[in-house]
Amino acid sequence: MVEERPLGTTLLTLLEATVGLIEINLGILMLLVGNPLPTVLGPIDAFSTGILLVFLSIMSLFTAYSLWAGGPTNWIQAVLVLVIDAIAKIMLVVTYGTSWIALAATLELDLIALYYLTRPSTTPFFGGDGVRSVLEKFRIEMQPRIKELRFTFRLVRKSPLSIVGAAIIIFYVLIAIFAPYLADPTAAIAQTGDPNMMWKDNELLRLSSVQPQLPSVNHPFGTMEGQYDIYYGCIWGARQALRIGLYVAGGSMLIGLAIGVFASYYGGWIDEVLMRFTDIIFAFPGLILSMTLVVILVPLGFNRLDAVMLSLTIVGWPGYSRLIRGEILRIKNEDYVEAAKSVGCSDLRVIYKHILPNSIYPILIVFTLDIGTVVLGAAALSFLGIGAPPGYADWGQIIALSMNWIYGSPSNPFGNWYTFVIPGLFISMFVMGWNLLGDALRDILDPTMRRK
Amino acid sequence: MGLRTYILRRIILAIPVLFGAALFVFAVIQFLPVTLRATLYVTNEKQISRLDEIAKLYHLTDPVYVQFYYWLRALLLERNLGTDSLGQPVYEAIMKRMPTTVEIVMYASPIIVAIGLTLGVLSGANKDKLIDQASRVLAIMGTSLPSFWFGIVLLSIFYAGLQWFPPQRVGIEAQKFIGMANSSWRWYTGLVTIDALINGQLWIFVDSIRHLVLPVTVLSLLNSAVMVRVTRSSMLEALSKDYITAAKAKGLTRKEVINKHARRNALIPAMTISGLMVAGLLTGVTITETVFNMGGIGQYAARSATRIDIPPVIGYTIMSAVVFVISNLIVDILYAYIDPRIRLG
Repeated sequence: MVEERPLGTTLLTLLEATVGLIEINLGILMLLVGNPLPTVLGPIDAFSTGILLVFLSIMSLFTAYSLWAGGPTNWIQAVLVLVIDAIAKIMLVVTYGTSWIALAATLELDLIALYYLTRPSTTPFFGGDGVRSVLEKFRIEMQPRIKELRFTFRLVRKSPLSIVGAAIIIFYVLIAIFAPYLADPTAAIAQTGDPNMMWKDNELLRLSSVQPQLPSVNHPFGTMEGQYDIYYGCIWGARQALRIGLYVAGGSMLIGLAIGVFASYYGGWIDEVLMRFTDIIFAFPGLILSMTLVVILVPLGFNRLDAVMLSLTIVGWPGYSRLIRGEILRIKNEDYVEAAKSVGCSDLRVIYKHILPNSIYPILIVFTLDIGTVVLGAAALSFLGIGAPPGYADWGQIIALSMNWIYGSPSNPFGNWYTFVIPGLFISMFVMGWNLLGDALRDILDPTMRRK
Repeated sequence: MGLRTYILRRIILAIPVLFGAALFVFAVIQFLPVTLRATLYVTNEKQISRLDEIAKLYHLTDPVYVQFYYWLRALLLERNLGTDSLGQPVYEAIMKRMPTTVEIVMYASPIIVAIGLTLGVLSGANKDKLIDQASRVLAIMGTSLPSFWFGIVLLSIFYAGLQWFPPQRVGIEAQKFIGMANSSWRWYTGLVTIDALINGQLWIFVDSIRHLVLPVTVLSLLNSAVMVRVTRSSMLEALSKDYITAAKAKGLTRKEVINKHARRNALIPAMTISGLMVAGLLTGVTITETVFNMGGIGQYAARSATRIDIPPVIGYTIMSAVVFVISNLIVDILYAYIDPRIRLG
């Protein structure tokens, strides 16, 4: 007998499992052989992309499993699944540009999902009904979720700060995706072979040495020390910021959640060891510890950017472990968890169906705020000269290069304002966007505050 | 549990954390090859050419636990943090630069606490009013602005433009005066502002204060944001308690309710954040000292990090972990002292 499952669950599960498996393969391939895919923009830190893809896919497989185990218990789970999928696709596009491969990859994911859905062995889930009744079923099944979603949107509309925050983030995501069209990478690729490196205006370098130049037609935001184009750095810096923010915050979240859930659900000495370890990490101020880790990792042959991301992740994950641990301890003894256990639910099912959905809000909020914090930290490391390699399109580095040019000239002391004001606004706005959204989400998503 | 038992317990609990932190740093160092690790024990220039001897002396090729023992021993007994790439022992370099950092933190901390608590209480008591909106803007700014950028903007306005507040610890005149061979200047505390007053050199005092204004501003504005946030939310929570309703029902004025009932209870949780503030300050000085070229330990560590000079960075990390753990310990003890529920519960 085929077990009856809600259709939405089946759809999402298959989609998620497929996406997850493809991503795992892509990710492992990239980790193993660097960048296996021919891209228009050339090889772009395949290593970190690989790590991200593996993380994302593990998470999406977990989500798929939890859906399989009983379907989304609330709308946020369903949204989470879609968001993860969307992030995976955005990351593909961000990493591979708008080249054919990105299009092909996303299309492929959809095609395979479609294949799973329509092949004969899946049809029993449709209950043998026609498409219309399937859609009808879907509508009825999703109704309470749609209602909640509408309510959330109403709350979002009522909170202007969250709209501002979301708008800022979308703005940056668009900049990151369309960077090749906003700032032509031809010159950068010709000079360094990597579009993420800023290009130098050699003509200007010959004419006026390293002295920064005022905004002009060729350089809308002017040039900085060494005649690097500031506009190019600011635009492509959006990719760098999103990449670092998502990799580090996402990586810390996944590692932190996995370890935290595992340790606190089973308790005992594993839990004890984990908590003592987080105590140790928390004994150091975060940025100082990550500075140390970078200084150790670089002589070991790590590339600068990988070293920064790795060290920020090492510093970041214990926070998530502690958060989820506190949540689990709080929820573990609730009646509904006891009830689920007493009817024979497996541990994994209890964790994914009862514990995670109830503790996902604080984690989502912290994740949102964390992206801003991580980008600030990475920028600070760049400013100290141990972040992005010289010439990399990174906001922190542009500001670092402006340090020597704060004083314009005796007649015009603010003459070089553009070298630090513009990149500074870029980074502040980015971080502010995530902070605003995180703050607003706190009020919107928290189930205890939601209906007040 | 009495207060004394509680304090004793907290101190005993802090020791394994410090030990664990040392173990963690040691474990991280273990990734480096032997020759690089040996430089972490070098105490004078002559030894740099004899790294093999150092490796033997500190058992660097022995099993890990033996190494750890000798590393910890060198750290605790000899205060051996190695030598930086300029040939100066790290421990001495840190000690020499300590007063500058202490001075910045000394001026910034009271400002942070004052701004944080005052604005937090005010904005909690006047939710959604103008003062609340203003302090929320400050809080968002404090968490969103990169401190180094804020510093650079202030430098460009108040140094490049207005010439009011220059960077560095003291001006050239004062430097000359202090450094002169037959100078009447005597160091007492190492803090320039205090020593200037003791020496009776008012102009040096004024000069050093001028140099301190910008770093202290950056440090305190950005760090007070967190404090404002926490105080505000704990004030809001206190105001929603039953005893506030009771106080209002008794017919107390709004001022009395806020000052005597809500504020006192709101300030206690806000205190716990001061432990976190120390982390913010340690991170903050690393960056502000670099921006303003103050020459404190933060700048020393940051400059060394730029050169991938490992010993000073490790030394600074160990030092900041010790400072952080101890200050958290003090906060915990004060917290228990003020709020008996903590030590009894």
